[in-house]
Amino acid sequence: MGNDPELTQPEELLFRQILPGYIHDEVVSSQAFAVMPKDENKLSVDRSSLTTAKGAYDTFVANGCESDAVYGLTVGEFNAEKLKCYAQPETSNPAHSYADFSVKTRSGGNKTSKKLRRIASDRGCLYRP
Amino acid sequence: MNSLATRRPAKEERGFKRSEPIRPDLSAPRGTVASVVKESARESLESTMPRSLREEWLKLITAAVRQNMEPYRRASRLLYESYSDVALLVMRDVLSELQRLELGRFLSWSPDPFATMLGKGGHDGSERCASRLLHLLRLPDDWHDNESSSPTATAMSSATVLLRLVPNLMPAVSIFPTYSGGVMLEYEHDGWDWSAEIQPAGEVEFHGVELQGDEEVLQQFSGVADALEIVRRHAP
Repeated sequence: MGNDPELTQPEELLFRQILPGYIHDEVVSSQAFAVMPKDENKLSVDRSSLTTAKGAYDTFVANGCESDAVYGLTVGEFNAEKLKCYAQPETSNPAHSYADFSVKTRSGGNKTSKKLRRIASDRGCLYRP
Repeated sequence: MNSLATRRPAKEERGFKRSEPIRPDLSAPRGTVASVVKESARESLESTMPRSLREEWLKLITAAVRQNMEPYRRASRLLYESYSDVALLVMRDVLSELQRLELGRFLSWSPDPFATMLGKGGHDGSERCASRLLHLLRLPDDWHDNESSSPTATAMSSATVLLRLVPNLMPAVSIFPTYSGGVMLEYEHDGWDWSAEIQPAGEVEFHGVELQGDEEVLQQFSGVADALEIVRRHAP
């Protein structure tokens, strides 16, 4: 997307931070895998080739954000839902990347979020502080 | 003792006729509000409540809250026990008004108002749902970020009504705030991932996705009452 390089290793795991509001009794909301209006169709994730689940959490929190858990999906799993992934390193987070939801309609995006939630939940929580 | 001083006025003397609106008596002693509600309800309600009457009830109970909490507690319990489903619809309005005007007092009186509404039938999962709803009720606007909204009173009470009317959801459902101030109920059943997203103004979007296939159900409703049938059909 734009000049951001696409992630092409299908087995690379991408970490997703889960906000406290999106966990209820160990169940994660599909909204945790959906883009919000301010996200500009970019679902933020962190690359496992550059950080760990704990490292991604620590960076997220150090940047002033709240997270209750870290889940993950691979690039290939995003691609199977017709979502491409791109690297977008930031000064405060070199592992930052995103899945591009711009190809999805609102209802299509919601459907995809449910699918992503199921895959990530089946893999299980990768880190919890 | 002057018997006239303690005699309970006849209903007609107090002006409670079917065709006339109910007027809250703000000077009434404790307990009177509950009595008024009970008697007017008995006369006016069978299975449905006219909109105009609901509005009067809301005014009445709100007035009771402003006076003190005891009449409200008694009135709301009476509503709940006597006319369960309809009472919850009334409670939606009451809660909305309470949250706007009296949230602090309401919560100080009842640490868990949702337990009363969800727990009466002893349904599995009612305690965890009530606890979760209370958690959502107390979320600040910036629970997600500085552009998010806390769940509205309408969304909260609509979610409560939906759970109460479809109690089979309670053991299976997970309850989440939405970014815009709604409430989302999510659960899996029979190979499908279901969600009822209640918008801030009470509209409901019911969405289901087949977990191992590509089938999808998506319907939108103006409120919980309209969504009941499909939610019940796909509940555990």
